[in-house]
Amino acid sequence: MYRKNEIGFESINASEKERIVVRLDGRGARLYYPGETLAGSYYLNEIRQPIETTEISVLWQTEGKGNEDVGVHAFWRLSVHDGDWIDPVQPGRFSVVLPQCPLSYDGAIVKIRWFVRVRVFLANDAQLVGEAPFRLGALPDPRTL
Amino acid sequence: MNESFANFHQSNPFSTRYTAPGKTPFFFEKSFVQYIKASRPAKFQELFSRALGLGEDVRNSICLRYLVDQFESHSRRGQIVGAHGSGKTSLMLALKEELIKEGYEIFTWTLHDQARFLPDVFWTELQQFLQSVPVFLPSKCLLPPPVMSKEEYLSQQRRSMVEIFGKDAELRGNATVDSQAEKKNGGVEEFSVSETDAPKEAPNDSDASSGDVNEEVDDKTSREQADARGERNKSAVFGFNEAGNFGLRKTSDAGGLFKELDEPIKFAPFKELDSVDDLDDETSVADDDDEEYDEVEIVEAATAQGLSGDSFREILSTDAKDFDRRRSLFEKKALFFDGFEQLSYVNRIIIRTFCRMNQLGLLLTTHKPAIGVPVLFRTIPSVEILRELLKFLLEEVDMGDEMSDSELETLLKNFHYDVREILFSMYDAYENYRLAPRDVREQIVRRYPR
Repeated sequence: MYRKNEIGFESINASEKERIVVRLDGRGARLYYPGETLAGSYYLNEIRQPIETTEISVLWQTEGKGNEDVGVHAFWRLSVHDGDWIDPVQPGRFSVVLPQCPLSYDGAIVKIRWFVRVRVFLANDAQLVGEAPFRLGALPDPRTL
Repeated sequence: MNESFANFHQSNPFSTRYTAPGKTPFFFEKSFVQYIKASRPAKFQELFSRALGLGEDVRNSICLRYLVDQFESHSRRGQIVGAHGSGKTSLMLALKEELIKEGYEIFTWTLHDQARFLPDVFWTELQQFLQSVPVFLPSKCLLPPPVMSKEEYLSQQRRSMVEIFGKDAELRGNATVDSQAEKKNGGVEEFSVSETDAPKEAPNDSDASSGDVNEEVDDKTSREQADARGERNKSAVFGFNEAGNFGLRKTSDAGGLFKELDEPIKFAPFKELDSVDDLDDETSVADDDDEEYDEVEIVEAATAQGLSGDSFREILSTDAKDFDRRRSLFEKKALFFDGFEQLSYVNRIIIRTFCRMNQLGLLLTTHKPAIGVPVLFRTIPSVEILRELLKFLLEEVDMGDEMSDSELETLLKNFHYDVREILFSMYDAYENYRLAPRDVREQIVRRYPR
């Protein structure tokens, strides 16, 4: 059995649960404006393997029928090899000032999606990915035009 | 909060983010598993147990592992044949993942836009990939035969020998190529490097370190004399074979200089030598029967080239440990070439010859079978595969009832069994569905593209 994930797909068991939870601070609608500060936290649930590296990134990505385009706005990396302390019990925090562009867009041919991605590298070379999408800017919906 | 906020997280499940090769698993038909079970029941049991132990998707795991086994049994050569948009690249990337798990290093190259020739950057990156081994590797052995004069060629060989065996080693080669010796060796220059064990003979090496190159009059006699002196001879064949391949073959005994290498080393343009070592290896000479050109037969090559006579017998009589040392530097390296059919005829020959010469694994995706490379799998889209793919892509989307077999069959026929085009049309259909009013969505939910 396979399941889609942010990287591609992964083979899963039916009993597997979401093990990375990303929560964004704010008004609940996950709408942020350019220049606003985006802050949030992430939680690691039921991870029994030792964690080697945790990567937090704020990025945008295009979607459509053509090639994808990706831009990373902010990136943090915590690694035990660099002497960082990674506590799987305690939630991690992040905060960043959002840029002026590109704004989120939900068109038919192309879409621009913003999200926060947390990627955890375990000692057994496995990866876990958690993702929280949000909107940057308030461009009108194409359906309302 | 308007409606767009509620749905902003919904992506089109048919966008390239999800449908590009490597983003979706390759789905095999049940009939392929049954074929494996019927043809090789013992292998099926092994793969089945392994798949259960790993907790992966059983069917795909069995099929992928079976193809990896076939790839390795065919001297790490194979090709995936299929029409446009039938899943060749997806299968290749799935095999790549499996091979990486097995410890392989894969160099992937994709041709697009009808590129008939290989760019220079391909050879540059491939050479960097091949040289990323911890063992010293002379770069000259990795490139196609250079165009140069015979004097330049000989001087380059001497430099390479010094580079390989060090300045302290005595280098004895053909200072001037004897026509008779050349005729005897079939145009392959043979060098002999001797290493002195006794420290008291070290001062004699000063002549050798000065770069003095002695001509070998009689190789057998000199070896006997050197053995009598307590020296251990190292010899290497360095030249072209019948196919025009340029390479180095060491024909020394097990001790000495080569023993100091940490990694097993072998540079053999003639892969058939492996069959002498590994009788259980399924490297089939029979697979080469379909070769129409640039193939080297072991007997003919061994007798006609510098491997004839003493050199070849010396290889055969060498112990198993030394054969392990001679194994290819690229035993766990492979070249994955996507879009092989776009290459010109000459470039196809160069790629195949290059991989054979360096014993580099080669996996191709092509529309029509390439000569001389065994076909691992033929990708043919079917209703079963399309249903599995749509089920995977639409697992988080409620699109109503599943399509019937007749609808999927019609879809495949209308798009000429091109799954990629089907997914593109599905993308447009999903956008129409998503952007339509709610009441219209229910009407078009089953109006699939035709």
